[in-house]
Amino acid sequence: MAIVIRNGIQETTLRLLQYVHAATARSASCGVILAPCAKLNSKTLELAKGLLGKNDDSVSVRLFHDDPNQVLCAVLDGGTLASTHYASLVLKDFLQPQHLLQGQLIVSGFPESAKPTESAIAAFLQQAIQSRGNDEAIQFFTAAHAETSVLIADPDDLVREFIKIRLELKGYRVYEAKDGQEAYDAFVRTAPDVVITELNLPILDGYQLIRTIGRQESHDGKVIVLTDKQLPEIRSRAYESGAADYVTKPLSISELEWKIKRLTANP
Amino acid sequence: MRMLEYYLQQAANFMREFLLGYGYFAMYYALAITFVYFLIFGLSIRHTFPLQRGIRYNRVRKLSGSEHLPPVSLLVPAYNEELMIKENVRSLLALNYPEYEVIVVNDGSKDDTARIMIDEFRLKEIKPFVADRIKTEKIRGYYHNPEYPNLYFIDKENGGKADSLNAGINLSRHPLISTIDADSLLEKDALTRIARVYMENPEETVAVGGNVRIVNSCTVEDGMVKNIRFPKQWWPALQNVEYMKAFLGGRIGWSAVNGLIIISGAFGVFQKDKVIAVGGYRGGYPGEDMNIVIKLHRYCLENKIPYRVGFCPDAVCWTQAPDTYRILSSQRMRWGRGNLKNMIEEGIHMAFRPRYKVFGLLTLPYNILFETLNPYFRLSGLLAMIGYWLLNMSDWRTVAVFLLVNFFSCFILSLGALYIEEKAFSRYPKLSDLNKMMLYSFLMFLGYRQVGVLWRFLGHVDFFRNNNTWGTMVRTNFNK
Amino acid sequence: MYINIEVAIKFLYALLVLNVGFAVAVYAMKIRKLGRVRTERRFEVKLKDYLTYILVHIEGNEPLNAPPFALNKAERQAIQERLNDMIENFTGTARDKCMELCNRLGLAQAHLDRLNKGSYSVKIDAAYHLGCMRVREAVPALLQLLETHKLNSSLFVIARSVAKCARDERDVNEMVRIVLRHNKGFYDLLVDMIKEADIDHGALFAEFIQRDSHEFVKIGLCGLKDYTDPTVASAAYRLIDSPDGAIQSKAAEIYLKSVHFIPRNVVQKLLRHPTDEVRVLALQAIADLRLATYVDVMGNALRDESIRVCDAGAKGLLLLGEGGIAELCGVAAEARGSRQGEYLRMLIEEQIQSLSSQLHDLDRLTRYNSLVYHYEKTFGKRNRIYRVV
Repeated sequence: MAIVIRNGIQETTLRLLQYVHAATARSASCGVILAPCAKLNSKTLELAKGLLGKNDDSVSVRLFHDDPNQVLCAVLDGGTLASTHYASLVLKDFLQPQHLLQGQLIVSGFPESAKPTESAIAAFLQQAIQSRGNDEAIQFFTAAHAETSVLIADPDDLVREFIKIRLELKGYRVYEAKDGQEAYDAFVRTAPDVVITELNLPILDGYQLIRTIGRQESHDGKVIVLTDKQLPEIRSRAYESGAADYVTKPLSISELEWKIKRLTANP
Repeated sequence: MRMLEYYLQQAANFMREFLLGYGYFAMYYALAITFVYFLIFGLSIRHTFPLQRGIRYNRVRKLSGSEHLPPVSLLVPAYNEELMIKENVRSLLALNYPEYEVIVVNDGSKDDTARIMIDEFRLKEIKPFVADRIKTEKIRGYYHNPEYPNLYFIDKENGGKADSLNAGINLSRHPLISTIDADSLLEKDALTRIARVYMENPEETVAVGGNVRIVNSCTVEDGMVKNIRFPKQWWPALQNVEYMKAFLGGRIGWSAVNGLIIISGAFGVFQKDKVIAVGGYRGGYPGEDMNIVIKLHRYCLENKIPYRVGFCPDAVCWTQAPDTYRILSSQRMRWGRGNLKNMIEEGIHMAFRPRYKVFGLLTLPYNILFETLNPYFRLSGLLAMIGYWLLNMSDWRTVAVFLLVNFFSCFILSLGALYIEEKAFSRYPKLSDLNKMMLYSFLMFLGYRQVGVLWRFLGHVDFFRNNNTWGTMVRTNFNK
Repeated sequence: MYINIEVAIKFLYALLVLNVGFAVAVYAMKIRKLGRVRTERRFEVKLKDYLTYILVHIEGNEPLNAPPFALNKAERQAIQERLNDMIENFTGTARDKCMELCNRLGLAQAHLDRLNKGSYSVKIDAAYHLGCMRVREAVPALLQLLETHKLNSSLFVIARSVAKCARDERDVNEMVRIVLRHNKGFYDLLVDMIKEADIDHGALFAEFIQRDSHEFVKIGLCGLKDYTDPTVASAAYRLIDSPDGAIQSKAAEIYLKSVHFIPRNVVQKLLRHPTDEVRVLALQAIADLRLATYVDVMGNALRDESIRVCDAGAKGLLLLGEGGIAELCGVAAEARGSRQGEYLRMLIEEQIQSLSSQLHDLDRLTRYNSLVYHYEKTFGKRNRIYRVV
């Protein structure tokens, strides 16, 4: 039984690989959406395919349903990660009302998210199969697995969510905390390499968090301060408390990413 | 025998005439109160719309990070607060505000308040230089820890709340001061909201009051109010609707005509130089919160300084309401005593004099006649009713109509307050809370208002007996 | 009273109607709000995926697409709120793309229409949203609304929107001109608003302080609080002689923060200024810049009547090396017995105490030794409250 399933995965993997290579050989990008899904009849399949291709003319869509694994596969030849992501929204909006969706949609773009190798696609497929039963948000598959873990402490939901999404896409492992106490507990529990924190945190404020982290001998965590305060006194106070770097809001995510890279590059 | 009958007859006729006259007087008195109430409530409702716009269209979070917000010194007088002082001070140190200092003043507590503060924040004694413009009781020491650069602690001999505030004023560095009760929970953006009101007219705004809401039965976590619920117990519930009526229905309207007579001691922001100019807080007697506002009005009006005393209902401070008869009555008697003293000391000199504009011509007469002297009018009204009954003058229909008119004209004011709450703030998420508010607004008339009048009268009695204690105060934790 | 019973009953009926009316209104508002909260929560789930899409690709090259599903009014409002938050929190490409998305969703145009043709409260609502979305085309209409508006909180909402949408300095200038007509001294608020505009603030404020109008000068000084380049310094220097007291102190503050050296005549002028705040700032600046040549001037300041100035002078002298400390002890000894003298002596003793616990620091060690030596010399060896290192 196990052999049959494995062959099923391998078969689909190879098929997807073929499609993706067809695109990347021409130096175009290729987006793939996988979702655990009930069997679609041919009419529904045609409708879905039409919807997916409607947005962008330069993209050609291949849509098929993998019976043994019960996974719907969509390959968007020529689609970037952005347009593929958007297409996944369209697809979800189409499948959900008809109760065909049985899990989470996983989106990936080649070569943006990963190199188009057999193992990558196999892992991708596995992730899709394992998401069966979840009815949560659309997920990404990415081969980038940085060993760095990051803890973000900020009471503002939007900022936290934004940083989490962006960093996870780059392969960082991200932990969140809404206030100083939660941040400290998370720090002790998960020992992240970098901590990004606001200064104005409830319960334990940013300066104290930085100092307490500095006093931890078991683990050396570098702290980047992310805040909207620009007064030079506050900046120097942050550095005095032990912060390694300082980023002001409104936020530029690329600046933040560079600073994280720089801080974790040095051993 | 016939002579006696004759004289009794004459007396009865005289009484009838007198009571008839009194009846007209009472009617005019009631009409006057109703008129002023309706005027103020009408103003409150009318003012709700621009107020709501000011709240909705200002991005408070962004403003909280601005370096142009005025620096504020928070003064926190504390007496026997060992239970909650740690958490409350930590909560005050974590406000969303760029530049402020927290000055905690220990008013000679008999418990461990001072020791807990010093231990918790590892405070060391310092010798700052302190202005001495206002005299206070002896200071035992000033404490500070550079790791908490915004926190200062003053340990002093007992002298009362006003005295502690004055000591805090002497140490404070910033041009704005804010008085906070040690047991109240300030919302994180409350200071920013008041600062916005201040910044729109910085020179003229001498004082801004915040809104005080009742935290009983709400869940409090980590110094923040998480689940807002209407209080479950009787006394806090009645006080809740009473506060809403007074703050939302009353203070908004009064501040619109610049006739606000009181800013809660639990949360208010003042211009320091004006407070010092009027001699600081008057100690030795309750009612210093009303006293300072009256003095500010007088100072500005006498010196022809353009000014306003504002009210910012979206800046919220949560406080625990007394939940037993004993504590509540003691509080209200204290208020009654303080009110009377303020009227005698300050109010009488300003009432009915055009020099003092709205404050003198409307606020103070209203306060003296309809608040301070209210118990006496009600008492005489009660006696008159008895007289009517004895002399068979009463017509049940008239009495019923009178009572119903009285009830509905008061109830509509409660409804007005609920309307404002729903329109501009809508803090209570559940429909059941609204039902309870309606119910308790109704129940207020079945004894709560009456017993309030009694407490006020007893407060006056205390005043005349020169009784000057603070009565019973029992601290309990939040989350009850 | 018996005559008025009919009137009273009519009044009673009127009251009853009003009561019922208000009660109904309150319940209606509550129920409507509850319904709105429910729809928002339902929409939350639907919106999450779309928002993730926006957040992920917000700095990419491609434009953001509109959501693939149709939106009703409440849902449009929810998206508008989110986009407002994003535009406020992000900068650069991310912000531009959000603004472009607002255009694509038709939100910008919808609010522009409302601004032109709505009732008063609709206009203010539209002005607020246009400001959040930073719609440049809205500026003329917004300025027109601002022109005829009276002084209350909504005036500032519109003014802030103008600043956020401003195309260039002229728009900001115009906004300031109109708002200053109701002047109530709200300069800090104005500066905060101006800083939301996408223009060169430093240049604008520098231009303001060179105008004749005191109001503009004050706004400029307020805004230049953290700018420290030399051109600012020279403009600020000229303003120290301004007739207005507030301008003098602010200008002095900015001047002192932006120079690296203060000429003697300026030092003397500042130390003679009537406001003690200015004197304090001057002394602190001399100390921060380590201008040891002014030790004598600072010594004079120790005799100042204001204790704050005396304190600032003393603390400054401690940082000016051997000469400063000698001067400090000398003046303290001379003034022995007076209030100043006692205060200075207490300060010196306190410094000795606190420094004696920080002797691992070379700088502090030097200071400690110096202080102890001069203290002994001037006050005598009697009070051994320190230890010699």
